[in-house]
Amino acid sequence: MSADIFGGNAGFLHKVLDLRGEKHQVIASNIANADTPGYSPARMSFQEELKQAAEGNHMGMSTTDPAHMGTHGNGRFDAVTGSISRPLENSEGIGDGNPVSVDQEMVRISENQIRYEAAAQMLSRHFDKIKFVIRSGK
Amino acid sequence: MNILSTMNIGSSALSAQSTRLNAISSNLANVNTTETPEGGPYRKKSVVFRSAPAFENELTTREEIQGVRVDRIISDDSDPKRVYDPSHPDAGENGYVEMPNINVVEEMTDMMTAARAYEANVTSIKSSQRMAMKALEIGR
Amino acid sequence: MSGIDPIGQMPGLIQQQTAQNGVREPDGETFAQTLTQAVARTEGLQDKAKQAVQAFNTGESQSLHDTMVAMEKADISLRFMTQVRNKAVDAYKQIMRMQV
Repeated sequence: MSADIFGGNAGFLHKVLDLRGEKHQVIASNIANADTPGYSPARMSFQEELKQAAEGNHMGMSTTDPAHMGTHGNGRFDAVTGSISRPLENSEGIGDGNPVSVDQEMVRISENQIRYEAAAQMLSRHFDKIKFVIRSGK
Repeated sequence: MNILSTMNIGSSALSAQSTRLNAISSNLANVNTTETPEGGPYRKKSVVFRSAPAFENELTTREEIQGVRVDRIISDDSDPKRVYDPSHPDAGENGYVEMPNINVVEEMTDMMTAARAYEANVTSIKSSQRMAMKALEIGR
Repeated sequence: MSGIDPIGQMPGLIQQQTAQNGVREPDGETFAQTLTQAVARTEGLQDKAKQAVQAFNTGESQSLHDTMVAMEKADISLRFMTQVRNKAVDAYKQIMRMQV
C-alpha cells in the first residue's frame, strides 16, 4: 500500500514540536543565565524556514518522493533546523549590564509553550481522525 | 531534543541562585561582625555566575543552550569601613573600629533579585513539565 | 472492432427505454449527486483545515482560533459524512435483502 495514511500534517506537526521544544530550551537558557555576566540572550527562529519547506522550496536534504522517510519519517521537513542567534539588543534589561530581561523571557516562554501545546493537540486530533475512520465510525 | 532534560537548565539556575541567596544571607547576618577567625572584620561574599552545559550528552544539543553554575565565591578585599566609636571593644588606638563593608540596602535588593530569578526558573521548569505532559497526551 | 462502443451506448439506451415506458426522470438532484457534493465539501474542509494548521505554525496566520475552528469543522463534517455513509450502506443492504 503506497498511500501514506499518516499524510496530512503529521510530519509537519512533528517537526514543529521538535522546533518548539528546542526553542523552549533556548529561552530557558536565557532565564537561567539572566545574572551571568557577559551573557547575551539567544533567539531562535524557524517559521520562515518551515514555510519554505512546506512550499517545497527548502534546500538541503530533500526527498525525491514524499514516501521516502527522513530520519523521523518527516520527509521534506527533516532538514529544517531553525537558527539561533544572539542579536545585540538595545535594551539593558534591568540595567545591571546583562541585557536579559527576565520578564520578556517569561512572556516568550509562555507563548512558546502555548504554541507547543497547540501543535501537540493538532497532532493528537489528526491521529484521532485516522483512528475514527479505521473504526468506520462505529 | 529531550523535553525532560530541559528541566536541567532551570534546575542548574535554582542551585546557583540558592548559593547566591546563601551568600547574601551570610552578609546580612554579619553586618556588624568586627572579628572573624581569619582576623579582621567580616568580608562581604559575592558569587560569580558562569554559563555551563546543562546536559551530560552534549552532542545532541546546540551550544547556545546553556545552564548556569557558580564559578567562585569571592570575598570583598577592599578596605573595610572605619567608624569612629572609642567605646567599642575592638576599637583601635585612635578610636576607629573596622566594620564590614556591607550596605544593607544593596544586599536586600540583591536578595530580591535572586528570589525573583529563582521564581522565574521555577516557572521555566513548570513550563517544561506541562509541555512534556501534553506530549504524553498525543493519541490518548 | 468497427467502432462499436457498447458501454457508451448505455445511457442513450436507458433514456430511450425510460421515455418509452413513461418513467419520469427525476428533476432536481438525485441522491447520488447530493452524496457526491457532500463528499466533495467534506474533502474541501479537510484541505482547509490542513492549510489552516500549516498557516498557523509557519506564522502566516496569527489566529489560533481560526485554525481550531477550521479543524473542528473538518472533523464534524467527516463524522457526519461517515454516519451518512453507514446509513446509506445499511439502507442498501436492507433493500438487497428484500424479496422481490
